[in-house]
This record gives sequence, C-alpha cells and structure tokens, in this order.
Amino acid sequence: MKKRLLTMMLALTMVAGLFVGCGKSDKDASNQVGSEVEENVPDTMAYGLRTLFREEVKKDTNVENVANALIESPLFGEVVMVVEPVSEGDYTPGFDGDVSGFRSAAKFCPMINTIPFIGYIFETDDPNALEALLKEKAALNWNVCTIADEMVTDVQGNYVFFVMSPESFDAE
Amino acid sequence: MKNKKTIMTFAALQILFFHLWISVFPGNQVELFLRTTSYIGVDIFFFVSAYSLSQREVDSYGKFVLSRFLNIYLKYIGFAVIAFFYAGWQIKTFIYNICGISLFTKGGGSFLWFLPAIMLVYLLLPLYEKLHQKNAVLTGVAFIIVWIAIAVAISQLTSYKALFILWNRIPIILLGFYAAKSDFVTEVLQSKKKSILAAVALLAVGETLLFFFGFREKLMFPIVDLYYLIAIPAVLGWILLLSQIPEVWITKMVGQATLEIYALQMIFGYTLANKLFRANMGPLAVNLLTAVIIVVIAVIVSQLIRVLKNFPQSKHKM
Repeated sequence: MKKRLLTMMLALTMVAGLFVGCGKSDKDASNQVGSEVEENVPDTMAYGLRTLFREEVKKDTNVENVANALIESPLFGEVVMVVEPVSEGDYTPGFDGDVSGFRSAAKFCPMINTIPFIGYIFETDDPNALEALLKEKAALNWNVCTIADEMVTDVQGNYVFFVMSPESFDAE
Repeated sequence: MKNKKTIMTFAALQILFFHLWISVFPGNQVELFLRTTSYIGVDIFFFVSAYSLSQREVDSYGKFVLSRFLNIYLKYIGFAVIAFFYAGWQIKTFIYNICGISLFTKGGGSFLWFLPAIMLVYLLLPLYEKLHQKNAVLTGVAFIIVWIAIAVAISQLTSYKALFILWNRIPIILLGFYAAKSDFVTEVLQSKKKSILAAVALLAVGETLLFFFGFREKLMFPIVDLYYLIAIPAVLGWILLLSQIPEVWITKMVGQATLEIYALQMIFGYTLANKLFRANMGPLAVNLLTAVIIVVIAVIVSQLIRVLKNFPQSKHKM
C-alpha cells in the first residue's frame, strides 16, 4: 500500500509539472521586432544575426552572399550551416503554407535539420507586406519534436530578414 | 510481440535517420519526406512498449516500477551525467532533466525526452490496466473524452505546446495496450499473409496522410501537433510488416541497444557528423559512417552494461 502511494505521488509530481509548464508560455510571435532602432536588445542568436544582417546587406545586395556571410558568424559555434537559394513555389520550411511575394531568397539552416533554426533573406518589391506575411505564417513549432525559442524579422530597404531560432546554440 | 527486435531495430534506425541525416540530394522532396516523417520511429517504440506491458502480468506494481527504473531510468541518469560533463550543463539543467521537469517545459527539446516519457507511461499504464479490469468500456470512453477535452482546451486557450509530443502519443500507446488484448490482432500477427496485406493497406493510407498532413503542411487544428495522430496508420503498417521479418543476430544485437543508440546520437551525433563533414567527406559517406559508428559503439556499451549487471551473479556461480 505504501509503495503504491509512493509511486502514485511520484506520478502525480510529474503530472503536476504539467501545470508548471503550462504557466510558462512559449516565446511566440510577440518577440518579433520591426526595423526601428530599439534599446535593450536581447543577447540572443536571432538578434545577433539581425545585427549582422544590417551590416552585411549594406555591403552586398545578393541574398545568397548575405546569407553566406551570416553563417560564418561565431554564434553558430561548431554547427555546420548551409545556404540554399529559394524561389517562389519552393517548399519554405518554417511556415504554415508556402511563402510568396519575393524576387529572390536564400535559406540558411543547420546541415542537421533537427536543430530548431531556420533563417531567410528575401529580396522583394514590397518588404513591409512580406514581413507581415512572414510573421502571420511563421510556426515556431514547424520542426517536428522541437520548438524555436523566438522569431525575429527585420527590413532593410528591399530586403527582409527572418529567423526562428533557439536562444543560442550552446548545448543543453 | 513477434520479431520485436526487428521492429525495434528499424525504429531505432528511423530515429537516427531523423536526427542526423544530412541531405544527399538538396531539394529532393522524396528524401525530404522520408527524413521529415521518420520521427514515427518514436511512435513504434511507444506502441511496442505498451503492447509488451499489456501482455505481462504485473504482480507487484512497486517491483515493476523499480525494475523499469533500474533498466531504463538509471541508464538515462547515467547518460545525463555524461552530458553534464561533455556539454557543460548547469546543475539546474541536470536536475530539471533527471526529474522530468524539462520534459514538461521543453518537450522534444529536453534531453532524451523519450526516456522520462516512457517512464511516465510505465508509471501510469498499470494503473490504467487496473481501471480497465474494473470497467473496460467506461474506462476507455471516459479516458478518450478527457484526453480530447484537455488537448483541445490547452491548444485553444493557452500557448503551451511542449507536452503535445507525448500527449498526442497517448492514442498510439493505448492502441498498443488494447492490441495486446485483442484476439483479432493476435490472429493477424500470426498470419504472414494477413499481416502483409494489412500492412500494405495501412502504409498506403498512412503514408498518404503523412504526405498531406504531416510533411510540408502539418495538421495543427484543433489540437496542436495533431499530425502525430495522422501517423498512426503508417505506424501500424510498419509494425505489421516488420513483425513478419525474422530476427537475425544483427537485429537482436541492435534491438537490445536502442536506448544506447538514442543516447549516443543525441550526445555525440551532431559533433561527429559535423566533424566528418568538415573532413570533406560527401554527405552520403558522412551519413553512413556516423550511423555505423554510433550503432557499433552503442552495441558495445549495451553489451558491457549487460556483462556488468550479470557480473555479481556469474561471480556467485563461480
């Protein structure tokens, strides 16, 4: 009887963790920011990459070159990153449905896809509309089993930056 | 379950494929589909575990839980210790993981999430069995209603998503539980012809459902991550098909080392694959070599653990 009670208590403790977890909400699309200058930027991977994007897009207007520059960032540590060009109609992981309304795009992501990171650089004629569409369609839990911690977007001229990412790639 | 080690070997390799496969043909939708949907290896494990548990007589709940703890959770804690040092965890991370808290806060992002999850199944399924024995219909119906109500409520009223990786596996777990008690299922499993026919039908339906609702666009309404349920026909199809493939020495060895395969791939797999890739090996070579290294080391570790566990007994016999 005592053993059964103890085991029930163990089980209930684990179930009670459900409510602890319920109290914590995932960081969702409200972490997004636009292209305004803001203070107290979180020290996370996505925001770090956004800063790099703003620097790189001034130097080069080719989206693949910008993406290739971003994946050289030490933020990624030892993780091998890859860049792939994306055209309209291509499968665009990270979103509910495909994304359209851009001239060219590059996707950058870990070579091993189970890390919940996905990034895009888009070149478009209507960057604000595209940014709004990306925010609307983005799915933080697009990656089976894992959930990205945050989503960050940015607009610089005709270029839209989009990243969903863990806070960092430091191993847990 | 018939040819259980064959089934477990396949499921373990599917999960390895899911976690560590590097694209060989970038942009190829077939390769992408196969990799994206190979998470169903987890569902296969849940079904087989529930099926096996449903078949056995649990005389003493405490002894059963203790045996599961020693065989599974102790290994999990051991691998958590390795990860603590290897990955430089904070002590809070270590404690949250081994106490199962990370499972509820991070879901599939927690360390070896499947192991605390299956431990939870081993804690709760025998209790479900007791309710089932008292009133099978009422238990089943009530449970389904409660499961749906909680899933819809949390999906629609909160932003919490982490535990759906386990919550949405409850149907496949219960299917395993009930399948073990079903004469019809037993009859199908014992007939090679019936098993293969059923498997083909289920796979045709299941893989089609996965393609439309669990691949590029995933079914998320009205329950978060509802696409896990979409996978059920495919999962059952694979189990039926694999149950007809006889175990051989390699599947027996690999099938015994599935926990070690899972742990090693998650602790060392990314580093290994990245290093091999940086050594300018092509993606296919990286994939194959990573898999072979992890499986071989896992089998060795598994056999070592067995020897160590049996050592006091063999010493006594001497």
